[in-house]
This record gives sequence, structure tokens and C-alpha cells, in this order.
Amino acid sequence: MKQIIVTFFVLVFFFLQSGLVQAKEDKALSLSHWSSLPILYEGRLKPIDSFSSILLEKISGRRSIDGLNANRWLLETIFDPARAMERPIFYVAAIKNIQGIDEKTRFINYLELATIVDSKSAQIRQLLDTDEQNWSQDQEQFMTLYQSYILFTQLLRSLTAILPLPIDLDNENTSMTYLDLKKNQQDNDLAVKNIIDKKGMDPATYSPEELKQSAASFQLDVIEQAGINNVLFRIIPTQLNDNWVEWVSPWDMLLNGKGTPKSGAYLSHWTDMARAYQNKDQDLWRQSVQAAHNDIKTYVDQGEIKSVKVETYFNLLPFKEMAAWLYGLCLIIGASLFSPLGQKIKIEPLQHVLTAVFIGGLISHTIFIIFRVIILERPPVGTLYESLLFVSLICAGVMFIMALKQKHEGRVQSIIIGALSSVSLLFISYGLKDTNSMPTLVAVLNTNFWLAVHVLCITIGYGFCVLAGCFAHLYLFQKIKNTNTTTIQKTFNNTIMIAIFALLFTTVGTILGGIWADQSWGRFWGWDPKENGALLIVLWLIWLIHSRISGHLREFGFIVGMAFINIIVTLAWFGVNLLSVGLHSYGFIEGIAASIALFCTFEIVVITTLAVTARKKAA
Amino acid sequence: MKINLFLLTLFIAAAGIWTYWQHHREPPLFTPTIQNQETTRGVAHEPYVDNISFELLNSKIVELYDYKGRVVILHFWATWCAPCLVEFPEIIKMAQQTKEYVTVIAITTDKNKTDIERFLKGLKTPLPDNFLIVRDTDKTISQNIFQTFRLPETYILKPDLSLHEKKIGAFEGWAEAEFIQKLTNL
Repeated sequence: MKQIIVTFFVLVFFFLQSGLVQAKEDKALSLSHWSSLPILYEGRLKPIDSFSSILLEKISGRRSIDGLNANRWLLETIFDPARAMERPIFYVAAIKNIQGIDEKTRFINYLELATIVDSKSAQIRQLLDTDEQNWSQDQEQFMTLYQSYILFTQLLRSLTAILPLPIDLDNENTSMTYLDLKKNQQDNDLAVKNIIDKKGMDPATYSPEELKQSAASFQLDVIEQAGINNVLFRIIPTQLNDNWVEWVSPWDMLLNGKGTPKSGAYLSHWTDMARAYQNKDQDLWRQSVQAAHNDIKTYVDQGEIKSVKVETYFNLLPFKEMAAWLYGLCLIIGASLFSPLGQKIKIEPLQHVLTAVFIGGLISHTIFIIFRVIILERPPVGTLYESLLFVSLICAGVMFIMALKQKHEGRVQSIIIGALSSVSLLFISYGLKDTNSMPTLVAVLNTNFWLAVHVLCITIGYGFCVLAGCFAHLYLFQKIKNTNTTTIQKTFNNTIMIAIFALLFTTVGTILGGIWADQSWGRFWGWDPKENGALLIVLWLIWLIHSRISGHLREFGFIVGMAFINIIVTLAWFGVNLLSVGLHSYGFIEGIAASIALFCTFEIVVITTLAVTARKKAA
Repeated sequence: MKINLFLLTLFIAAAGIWTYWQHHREPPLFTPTIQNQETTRGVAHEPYVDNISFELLNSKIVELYDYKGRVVILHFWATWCAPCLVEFPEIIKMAQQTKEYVTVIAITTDKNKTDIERFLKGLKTPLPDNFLIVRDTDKTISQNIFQTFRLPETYILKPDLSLHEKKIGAFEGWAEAEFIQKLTNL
């Protein structure tokens, strides 16, 4: 009961904290309602809220920039491009040898970057013609910056068709948009042709009216040219036949004939939003955002945008960060419990706090995974990033169940192992860039029932392996610390029990993987690196468990072998993806070889040191 | 112990039979490729657009909803649009064959009435009764309502005036039997 109360307060604190931040952000222009409008990006409908976070992270590597959160930044970029161009958002501190940029400069703005891109256009063309594999690290970094530049350029021009232009053809002081100019294009073009016929090509000889007319014609052409191929901002659902709604960008709609009466009306709400933003008109803003929401309901199937709503709620709270912080807090409390001071004072209340904080972390973690499952409508293990999140939940969940069955020191031990393994895996997940956007999976992963059973089984197996490895480390540590025999024996029993579960799940998962491979690729087994990795884990576990049962390995030997399972899991889980060989191509990654090597070396040194020291102690 | 051994044997045998059977099945022909979602399900609209008044070439006013119960083809064109002129005779042929259930409303953005009349006079086949010419000089219908910025474009509406299809650009198969059959079935 005590734990439940403490857990409740811990979660309420976090919820309130996040809620207050959200409320502060929303004061000015009711952003939350606007940011829950749907957009199609990376093959999936999502709220603008998610889109803005993904784009800002891609472009600047940050979640907020120059005092603006992602939504505010996006709002400024699309509705006030002139201001957005002056905001320093491109991170250049890591890129060396950029001419004209001070070494101490961390961020530059679009205009500065445009000058650099312009001066390096020949070099960029040359790089684009060469294989990426042959790029140096500097070149690779520069090209990443260049891609951010292209992306931002698209974003800046997303709504230029509906933004007011500094043109007043009818002298009524009303600002015109591209759409207004387009309506009179024929007349304008004819008028300009007459001016040229009469006065030639030199604008110096034109009257103010003629200059205005020529400028309008020129502007129309420039804006339209810049809008060609601008398909990033797919906010408009347009129904071109009786079954489907296609999601298009405003420019795609206008230039490629994808407009319809409904999509036209929807775009007019965005025109109102642009006007409201520029005139700081709260009422117009509220009305146009609400009208856009109402329109969406009338011509997009509600089931289709259900996940957009769910994702909006999901974005309200940083569940993953909350889980990571709470697990981290568990480690601090756990460490204090085992410190000399913790040993002296009465530790029971602190144990309750530890349990409560851990439960809080587990709840946040579970909500995070459940939300992802609902939004993506598939099991939570489609990508390497997702597998990390899921395995960390397995570790925390299994340790929670074990903690329930234990008391005092045993419970604390289980919680610490659960928190440690979970927080480590969550920490690693932050290192995998571009994967937090919940992308659409390749078809082979997205359509098959076996994905659910095979990958879930294998990843659950990974989770048990990680835990078995942690318990093995703990065993060695306890041996060195001369902990009493009963505790050591308990740790050993836990290790072997978890190892058996690990064997069960990895074996069943590997066999199911064969069935999946047969259905998708037409063969049960193909000695693919990923398959070999899974087999390696199974063989390692079979060898250790059977050797122990048959007596060929003693308790200590079994434990040392089990401590090494972490290295094998790392290689099978991440290492084989570096080879870029085989059919598991959707998991290929680069740039983590050094981290894997470092981890493996670290583990070898730690296990060897622990094992040798423990042996010496025993002797 | 005996039961465990029996179950283990049974499991291994089942796995063996399954593997053997799977290996002798024909493998799939291809591996599915990456497929991103570009579309979502739509909600049926009946009708697709609010009622609109049209001014015919002879200045008579008609309304879109007058044609409920017939297949309505809203065709956007102009005399200065070359692909429109190629497509136009084909639409007339189709209209002649579908007089009983199709109405074509051909909306032109031409400003000059004589341009339209000259073009129509030059046609080899006269316009049937179910083919209406509508003027949209201020582009209120074409651009403000239907978002038509490039010509030609055509909306095919079902008898309940819900959308069947929007055709972007010129379509040459208007008078083909297969297409006319499709219109009949709407």
C-alpha cells in the first residue's frame, strides 16, 4: 500500500511538471489544437506536433532552438519564412573547414548557409556524383548539413502559395497571394507583353504602374518555380476518386491538378491561419484551426485519423524520459541503501520509496510502449530502436515480478538489476538517430503475422539473456565481497532460472524466425549473419546449461560463461547489422562499430578481473 | 521422465516434418518491396459539392442539382488550351452516345465570347442537348471552387452527385465502348 501511494505521488509530480510546461507554451496562440492537425510524413499520418519535432531534430539536432519549441519553430518557418531564414538553426560546430565561418560559431542561419552552399555548389555536385562510401568524414558531415538545407528550403516554401505578397495591383492596400495573382495570370501576362512591346526590356523606362504589373508577373513565376516538387508538407487530404483520399502538399495540389472543392476549402482555412498568425489575430486563429479540424472530420475516415489523436496525447508527456529518469533514481536510491551510511540508518522506508519509484518507471515505460503499439498498429519490435525499448521493458518487467516474490535485500537487488539493465538499454536507444519518428516498416516486416511471434520471442529472449548476464556479474561481485553463501546461492539459482527462460525464448524465436523466413524469403534457413547470431546465442546457452546439468562445468565456470552472454547478445543483436550482408537489410546500421568494440573490450576486462579476483579470494 | 522423453521426441519429429514440408513447397516469387502509405480511406460525400449556378452560353441559368439522377461530367477547358481542343470532339462523341443518362457541363474560362462561338462553329459535329457550355470568366467556379489551375480537368460525378473520379489532363478514351459502359454502370 505504501508503495502504491508513493508511486502515485511520483507519477503525479511528473505529470504536473510536464503539464505546466505544455500550458506555458500554449498561452500565446493555442498551439496544441493546431499541432494536432494531421500531416502525412514518412508514409504515416501523424499530428503536426510529431512532424515538427522530427524535422527540427533532423535539421538542427535539437528539440528546441533559439528559445522556440518545435511547434513554434515550425509555425514561424511556414508562416513567416523571412524571419525564419534569419534564425540560427544549423549546427556547424562539429563541421570543420567551412570557409567564412568562425571556429567558435555553433549555429548559423539559412541565409549564411545559403551563401556557403552557393560557394560550394561545384563541390556538392561532384560529391553527389560520387559514391557515399568514398566520402571523408568532413564531406559526410557537410553533405548532412546540405541535406538539412534542402529540407529547410522545402519547409520555408511550403505555404508560399497562400502567404500575403508585398504586391498591391488594385491599389486597395489589400495584400495579394499567389492564388490571387494566378487568377489574373492571363491578363497580367498580356499586359506585360504589351509593356515590353511598347517600351522594351529596360524597367527604368516603365511607369510605376507598369513596374508593379511587371513585378507581379515576375513574382508569380518565381514563386511557382520554387513550388515545383515541393511535396514535404502534406497537410491536405484530397479525394480524387470514390475510395481514397490522397494527402498532398499545397503546391502539389495546385500545380498538379490535385485540388478539389473540399481541398480548396481546407486550404482556405490555412490561408486564414497565415493571416491570423501575421496579424496576431487570436479569434481568426482559433476559428480557422477549428474549421480545419471540422473539415477533416467530414472527408477523412475517422478510423484513419484515430491514431493521430492518440499520438497527440502520446506527445503530451515524455513517457520514455520519465521512465529513464525514474530508473536512474532507483539506481541512486539503491546505491545509497548499500552505502555505509545507508547500512547504518533504518532502511525500510527507503526500500518502499525504491519500489515505488521503480513501479513508476515501469508504468511510464509500459504506457510508452502501449502508445507506440496503438499508433503504429503493429508489435513494438519493428526496428532496432524499438527492440531496445521493448527489451528494456522486458528486463524491468521480469525483475519486477522477481522483486514481488522476494523481500528486503533480495527485492532491492532485483529492482537494481531491473533498473540498471533498463536504463542502460534506454540510454543506448538515444544513440540511434532518426529512429524515434515511428517510421513505416518495410513491407516484409509490416505484413507478416510471424513478425509478431518471431521477433517478440527473440527480443524477450534477449531480455532474459541480458538479465542472466547481469546476475552472473552480481554473483562474481558477491564472491569478491565475501557475501554469505545463502545469498550467493540465491543469485546462482536466479541466474540459472533466467538462463533457462532465455534459452526457451531464443530457441522458439529462432525456429519461428525460420518459419517467417520461409514465408517471406522462400527458405527456412540461409546462414544469414542475423540467423547465425541467433543460433550462436542458442548454442552458447545450451552448452552452458547442459554442461552445468551434466556436471562438466562447475558453478563458477557456468557463471563466468554466462557473464559473457552479454557480449554474444551484443554481437548478435547489433554487431551483425554492421556487416551489411544478408537479407536482414532493414536493420543495417553504421557508425557503432567502435562502441560495440569498446563495450566488448570493457566486458572482457571486467569479467576477467572479477573472475580472477574471485578465484583468488576463494583460494 | 518417460513422458518427457516421449514429448521431446514428438516435438523433434513434428519440427522435422514441418521443415521437410516447408522445404518442398514452392518459394514465393518475389520479396515485397518498401511500400509507404500515401492515401487514407475517404468518407463518401453525397453530393460531392454544394449546389452551383451556371451561366450557359445563351445566358440561361442552370443549377448543378437540376441534374441529380444523371451522371454529370464537369469538364474544364478553354479555346486557348491545345490539349482541350484535341479532347473536346471525343467528349462530344461520348455525350451523343449517352444522351439518356449523362450530362456534360463544359466550363470554359475564356473571357471572349466570340472565341468560344467561333470554336464551336468550327466543330464537325454539333453539340447534343446533353452537352452544356458554361462561361466562367472570373474563374469563380474553376479556381475558387474546383481548384482548377491547369487545363483540361474533368470531374465525373455519379447520379447522386458524389465523386466517381477526377481526371487530370486530357483523356483520349472518352468515346471508347469500355469507358461508356463504365459510365452506364455508375
